[in-house]
Amino acid sequence: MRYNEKELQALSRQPAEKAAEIGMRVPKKGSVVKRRLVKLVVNFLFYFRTDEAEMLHLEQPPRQHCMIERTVDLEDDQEVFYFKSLILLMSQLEPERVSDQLPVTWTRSEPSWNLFESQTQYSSLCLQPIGALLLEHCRIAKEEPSGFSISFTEEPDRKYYFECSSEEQCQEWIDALRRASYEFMRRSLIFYRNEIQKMTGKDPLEQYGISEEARFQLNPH
Amino acid sequence: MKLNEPSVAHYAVSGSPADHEGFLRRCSSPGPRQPSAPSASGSCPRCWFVLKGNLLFYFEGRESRAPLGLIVLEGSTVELCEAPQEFAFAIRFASPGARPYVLAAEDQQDQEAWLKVLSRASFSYMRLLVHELEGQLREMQLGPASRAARSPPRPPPEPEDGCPPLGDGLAERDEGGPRLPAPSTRRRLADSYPWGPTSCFSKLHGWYGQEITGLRREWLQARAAAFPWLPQRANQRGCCGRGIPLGVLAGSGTLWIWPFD
Repeated sequence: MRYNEKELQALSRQPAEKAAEIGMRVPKKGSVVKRRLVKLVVNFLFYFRTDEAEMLHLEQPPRQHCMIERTVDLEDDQEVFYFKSLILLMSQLEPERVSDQLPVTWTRSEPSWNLFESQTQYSSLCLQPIGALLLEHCRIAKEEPSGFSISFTEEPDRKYYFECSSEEQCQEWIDALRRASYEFMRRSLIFYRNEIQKMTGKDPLEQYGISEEARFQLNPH
Repeated sequence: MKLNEPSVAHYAVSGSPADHEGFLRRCSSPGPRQPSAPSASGSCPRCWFVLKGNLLFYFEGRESRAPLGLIVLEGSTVELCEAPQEFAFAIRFASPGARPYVLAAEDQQDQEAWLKVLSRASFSYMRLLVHELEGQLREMQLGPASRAARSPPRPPPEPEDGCPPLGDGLAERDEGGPRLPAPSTRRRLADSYPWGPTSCFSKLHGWYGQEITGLRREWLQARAAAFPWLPQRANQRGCCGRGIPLGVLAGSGTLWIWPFD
């Protein structure tokens, strides 16, 4: 199945419903729990590396052909803003395009995440996610002691495990993830629509001109 | 970047309802040269497209069980586009360097239907609708008393105008993030007019004219007191054009212009 990674990468940079660094273990033989930045954006759950050593290893050395010295004055907001934009652009553009569109680049005397509010913010803005899970037709289950798992209907035994720092955090994640599917949203919409119609006798979707659309029907065919 | 592909492919063909489906021609898509790109022949492969939520899948044929590809529609815009094929449209992404998907429908009706469903396919739109209706329902359950207490005083709507009742408790949630464009604009307009958006012109004219009428009355009274020798008929409508020269008061240092009523 073809899909465009760039679409998913762009989506992974969108504001999150919920994001945190938690432990994660993928369903693969011999895999262990690793710290990951886990970020929920609409009905996708993205996961990023957070480990500093891993990140240093991943960062590409600046390319020769776009190398012009530029030091960043960390006291200057404008500079910092410029630098952040530069990183964002570089992470989104093809390497060949960078030299055309950006006249300058930077020297990395400081680790680049120092410029961000947190390492979490840096990871979510500047690094590509390792992976994404589409949260449709999935099952979110509580796991002892303070973790949860995600499995998918076609292979219920293949579970993605997550370890939270507290039971409270774990419950928050479970609640957020259960509300994250399009199918859940559709059911909620139909529920509210019916309730309002019962009370007022009028279809609330009529005012938006979308009452006929298939996706808002109770039993679409 | 990994994706739980088996589960996504399974979701594509699972029993959950499709929001729209049909044949479309795939004229171009992002990424490097494709073997199926329209080159010499100029033809585009005809695929079976299935829209499920914010995901658009395409299959080789109607009965295929494995999707050929997936387009994640979140954050995309859909528009008509110039293409050699008839009834073409493009799905675009805002990220720099992203190339659009160009698809072509079978006929105009088909094209319109696809444009409509694809433009509303995002999860964010669905979530906005759910929040909107959830809020409306909560307001209704709280009852009219609480609603009246919280909304600013406002003349009651006039049912004969056919305007929708105002103040469904939407006002206080206005600052809560993005809103559905069409209804919110209408509500906000409705909030500033005492009679709702569908009042007739003479009512609106009267409402906005109140200030002017009052000022004019004051002005006429002040003028009559200061210059009692001026023709009193000026206090009534239809007084101008009586042949009094405009420069008659110029001696006082101000050029008074006759009121045009």
